[in-house]
Amino acid sequence: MRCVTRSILAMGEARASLLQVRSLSVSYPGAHGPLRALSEVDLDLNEHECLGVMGESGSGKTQLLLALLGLCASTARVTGSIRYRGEELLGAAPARLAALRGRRIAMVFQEPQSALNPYLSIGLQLSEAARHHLQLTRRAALARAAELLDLVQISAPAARLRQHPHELSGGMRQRVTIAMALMCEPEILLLDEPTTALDVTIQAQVLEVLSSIRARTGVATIFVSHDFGALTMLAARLTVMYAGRAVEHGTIEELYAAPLHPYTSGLLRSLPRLDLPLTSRLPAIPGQPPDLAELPPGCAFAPRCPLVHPACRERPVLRTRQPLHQVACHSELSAQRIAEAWS
Amino acid sequence: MTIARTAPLLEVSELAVRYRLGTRLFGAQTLRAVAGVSFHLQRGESLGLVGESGSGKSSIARALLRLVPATGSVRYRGTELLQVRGNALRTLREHLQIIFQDPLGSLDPRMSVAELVAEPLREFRPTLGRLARREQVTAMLGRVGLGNELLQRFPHQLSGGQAQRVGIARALMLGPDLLICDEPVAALDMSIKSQVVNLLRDMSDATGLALLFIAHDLATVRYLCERVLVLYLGRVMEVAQRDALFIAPQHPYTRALLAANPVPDPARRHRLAVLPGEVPALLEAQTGCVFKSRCPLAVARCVSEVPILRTVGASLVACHRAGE
Repeated sequence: MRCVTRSILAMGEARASLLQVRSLSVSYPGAHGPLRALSEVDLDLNEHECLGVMGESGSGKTQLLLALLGLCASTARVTGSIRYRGEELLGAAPARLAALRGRRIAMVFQEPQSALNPYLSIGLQLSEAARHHLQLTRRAALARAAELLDLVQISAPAARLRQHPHELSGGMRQRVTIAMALMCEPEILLLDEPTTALDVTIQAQVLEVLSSIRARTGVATIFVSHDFGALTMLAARLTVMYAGRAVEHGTIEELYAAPLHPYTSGLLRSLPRLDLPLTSRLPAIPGQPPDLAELPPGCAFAPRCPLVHPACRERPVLRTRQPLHQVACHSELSAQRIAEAWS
Repeated sequence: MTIARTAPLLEVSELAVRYRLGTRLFGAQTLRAVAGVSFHLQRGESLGLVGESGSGKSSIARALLRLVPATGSVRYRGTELLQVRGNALRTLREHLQIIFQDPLGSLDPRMSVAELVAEPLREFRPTLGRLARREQVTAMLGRVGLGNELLQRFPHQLSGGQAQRVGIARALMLGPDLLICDEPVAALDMSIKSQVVNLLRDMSDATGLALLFIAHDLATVRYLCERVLVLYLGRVMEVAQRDALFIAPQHPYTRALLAANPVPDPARRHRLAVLPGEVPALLEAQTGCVFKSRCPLAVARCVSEVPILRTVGASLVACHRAGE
């Protein structure tokens, strides 16, 4: 299984990737100097693959998605490079970005109720993008909208098109926003915590819908979440973010089996589990994530790290430790030794 | 006295919460958020109330605190809680505390941490001197893992985890015997969640505090609660000791809830067993079992007859088909 994943990845790396992000940084002016929301993030998204991005609040995961769409607030300073099929998007004309957004790159947000306009019917909201980007007629756009509602497993699609958001449940609304993102057959689907606001049985339904859509359409996906369990359902590769930086990157199997960053290691151990024997205490990470306005000069995780060392005053860069596994940590210890440091 | 000691700390029977929507003129509708819920809680015990949105778990918490009108009976420390008024209610509230899901929203933004944690003492121990009060506040902050450097901060200067610890410190200040926790870790970050779960567990172990822990996250409940009650649409589906519930769940809804959680292990990735449909609106009149519209085992009897709680295996289950 892992070998198959590897060979596909290797092929992907040989070609130019669909999306190539280099040294992407986003900062906002703050009272005491710039607030660094995202710092020097690199990532590659290949066609048809699903890349997971895991992080807590303030880790920069949402800023990353907003930057990809050119949707950061007007006060943001965005630097680096975002190449979509070789075309530089950072600094591209607003008209060009508007032509790509919703057409080639589409996004699903965490809160379906705020992503939908309460005054407009589901049909009108769904067909808007297809009429604008694909110049479909009203009738053709509505027919496509009904097809997509069917794809996201909403029953009686024709009747739903006439309904308004308040008439639908939370899970149904999230499926509508997923259908909306897929209206113009985008090449890249950005998912920002799409199941976080949902109940667990509804989350399971939405994850199944997303996974069947990916199997059918092959849309390349960046799935941002704080929930490792949800990420395992879709992602083949995973980037772990902490305090605005990517701290570890690799196949999700390898990151789970042998995490090399103390943060990833500590976090995965601390998850309450249903499938493992009960321990007397949850192995928690002490301390709290840093204030982005007062980031320490070296490694941002150092104040919470059991392996902290004088070298950590220098900021570690992402280094390749295994063929497809990169870590931003000075430690050379094995995954097992890092896990032992936590216990 | 002896009787009071052996009787449960909290005994809830046939609790019902109804909300009236609309006005009489335009036809009021009644929403039954909780219907006929009974359970008990021993001193020092931790009981989990689990369910999805609309299951009535928060309404139960509010009813116990007398924040919403309820019918039925709630005996707490031998007193009928739903009947007490005035000073008697105030005295009971000393021992019955709550922490909320939104840690920041539950703290007054104009009060410093020192004032927030001292407030219960000011209210209930007015004779306590300033120095003694300050001593107790610092001691409590230490117990919940907060340093003295936070004393003069205001809620907006706290992280979510710190704010929740302040909420816990406030709730524990008067030495309660029952702490109601309404989704206390749902809004916290991953690395903070386990810290707060451990803190609640330590507090309960150290002081013999009973916990009524309301959550939608079964994995957290498994760590914290000795007994678990599963709710659906305001009714009890299953009650069991932790091991019985997680190892041999008897109700089809409990099984579905457990199966809907992705296993956080990519090597064991599998299709999730998806429960069809959604929680029906509470306004719809229900005949028979409330879970029938989503239940894979539903038969004609489930439509006509309300299942009552009965013993199957090591659980109390409200299902006609359990144990078949």
